[in-house]
Amino acid sequence: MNIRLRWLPLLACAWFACSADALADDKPAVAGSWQVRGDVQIIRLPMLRAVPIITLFADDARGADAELHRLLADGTATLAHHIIARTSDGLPYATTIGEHIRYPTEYSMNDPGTIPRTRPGEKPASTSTPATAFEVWQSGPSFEFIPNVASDGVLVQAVVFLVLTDYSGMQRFEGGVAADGTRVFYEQPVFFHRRNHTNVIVHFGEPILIGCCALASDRHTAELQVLSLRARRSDGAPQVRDAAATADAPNAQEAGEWPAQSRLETFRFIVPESDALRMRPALLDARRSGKAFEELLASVRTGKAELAEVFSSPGRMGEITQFENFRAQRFGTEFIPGGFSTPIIPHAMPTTFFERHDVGDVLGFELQHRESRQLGLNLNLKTTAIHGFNRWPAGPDVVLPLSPVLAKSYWFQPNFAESKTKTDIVLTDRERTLLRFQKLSAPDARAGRVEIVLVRAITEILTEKPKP
Amino acid sequence: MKFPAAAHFFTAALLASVAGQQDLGLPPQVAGSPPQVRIELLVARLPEARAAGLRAELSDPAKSSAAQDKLLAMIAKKEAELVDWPILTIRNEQLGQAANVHELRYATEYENAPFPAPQHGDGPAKVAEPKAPDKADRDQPADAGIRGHMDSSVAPTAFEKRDLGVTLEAEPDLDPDGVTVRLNIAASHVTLLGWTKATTESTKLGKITFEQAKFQTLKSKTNITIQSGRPVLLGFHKLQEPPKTVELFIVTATVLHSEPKRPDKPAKGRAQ
Repeated sequence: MNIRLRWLPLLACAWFACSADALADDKPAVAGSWQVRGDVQIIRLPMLRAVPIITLFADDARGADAELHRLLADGTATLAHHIIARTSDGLPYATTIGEHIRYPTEYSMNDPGTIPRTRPGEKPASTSTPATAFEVWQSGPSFEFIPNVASDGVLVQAVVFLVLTDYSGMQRFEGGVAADGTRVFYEQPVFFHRRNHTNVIVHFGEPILIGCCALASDRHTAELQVLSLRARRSDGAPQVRDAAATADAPNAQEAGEWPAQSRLETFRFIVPESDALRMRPALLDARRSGKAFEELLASVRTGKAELAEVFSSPGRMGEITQFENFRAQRFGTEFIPGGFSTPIIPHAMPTTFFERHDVGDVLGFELQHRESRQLGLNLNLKTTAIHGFNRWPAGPDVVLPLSPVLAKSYWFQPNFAESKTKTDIVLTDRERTLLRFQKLSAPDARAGRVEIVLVRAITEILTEKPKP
Repeated sequence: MKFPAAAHFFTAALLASVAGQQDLGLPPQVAGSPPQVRIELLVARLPEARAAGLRAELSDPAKSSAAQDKLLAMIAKKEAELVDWPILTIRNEQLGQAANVHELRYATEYENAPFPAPQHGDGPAKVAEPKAPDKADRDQPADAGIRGHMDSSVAPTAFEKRDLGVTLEAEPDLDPDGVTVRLNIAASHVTLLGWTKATTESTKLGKITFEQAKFQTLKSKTNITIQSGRPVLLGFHKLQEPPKTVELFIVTATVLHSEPKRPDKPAKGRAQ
């Protein structure tokens, strides 16, 4: 007890130093450095089971985390990755786990040969073309963060950059005909990416949902990214805010609040047009939008509507938060005139170069001001989709005078669609706001349905007083 | 921190003032965050004969809301087609964008002499299987019996892309009266009408037919002053395709005032 009393003056100093500036670049006033451990858990579970947990994270993070672990225990959820990061206060940490996938991007126009296999055990293509240039892409998780411990040792601000990349095999593109008449194929890798860049403040030991999304490879599965941070003093000194100190701490309100941190949730639904039109007035009414949201979820459960994407990202005032969930789609952009000198049958043109285009969802926002329950932010939400390939004839139609039918070749170009909302908006805390209402059109297979995006901001006010 | 009684009184007075304004049919004028405007662009197609009557009603400020409801009823009964109905909620004096487009990529330059390739039909053939173009072609060898010898061919060397669909860009400027909005708006709808064929002949190559995309662009770009919540007919476009059809652009700007500033609830730990 005497030891604790001796710490009281220091505790008082720490308390006063506990201001917004203490979380900035300046080092805490307390002597000794903090060793910080960060745990990132990537958990996958069925989308409809994930929705209530995502919502719960805004109100009761520990309860949500406990529920997640209960689902992990009973096998409903799976732990895709668990990254453990250790660093010192104010120092960056970076880790990369995974493998390098090497794949060709350019091909020669010689007769078909074979390209090196990028992964053992894969079924080879029947025929492929000689490659002349390769790229390497990293698959697996990559995590970087810089923690800044507040002087009281209870709160930490962290800059987080998390990238998850899944390699899901090769996509085949046809590209010409070999001398023996067999078709030639190119193989291009398919990667699914989640990229999360945010800046958060958390209580030590308290889990925070730093991001979530629907898996691009399976829209019925949600992926949750949960971060929790713990710290200890490197010099062995006790943590400034130990249990007794916490009990004696002044009321959190008197001590003041930390700079606001807010969470932004977006739900993207695909709904039949008649339902969308019927629900639109309710979705536009702040008092009824919550109920309309529940109705949309009910439609998803019955299969009438589709929940295409869910984002939930925390962000700090004045900082840019960006969450991306996309697939890198590759497609040929350079082709060989003439192709292989072979007997002609209809075939795709030999391709010499592939480009990539990201297909998926991107949420970017910057919190600009908060006043009472109103939160002003700059918001950018973009959805890119691919709806198949258009097949184009290789050049103009030609009919020779003496030989009306000779040959036919063609090349492919992808059909991308983009929905974009870029705005400066004021959201009311915890109210769902209709952000997007757009009708899908051909060549989207869901043409005629309506895409609805609801956005909600939840302001999290952190105090120095930790939860018990 | 105690919330002073005077502040409670002030808030109550403010709320009373707000209620008074609502009774007068005016939106609340309150302190707090700056107001924002929700801009809705209803794009709909309907037969020309039905559109004429609707046009007159939409042009009358007193009847425009009822006319829009009538149009929505026609959409529900499939007598009109909803093309899109984008929303843009944005703070006053800020520029925002909402787009819902498809990107059409097509070649504009070719290399080498034209390749003798008989083609049939208009425009690019669609591939059924989006993930594997090769598979779709193998499954549908429509011209598999064609044989010959290749002397030369063309390959695309440059592409252009064009966004097809509806885009809305707007910047509201709210009048001090709180109900009048000066709106700088650009709304457009671009569609692909089809492909036009241009034919040339040469002694060496014979008849050569080029296909070029044919787009239809409907665009309204203007500065208008409108009343909050009242639909305004922004565009009335007669379409080339389908014939005897009209496409309407109807814009509504609704002023959304923030709720009055209230004292924050005492927070312990994370705010609930």
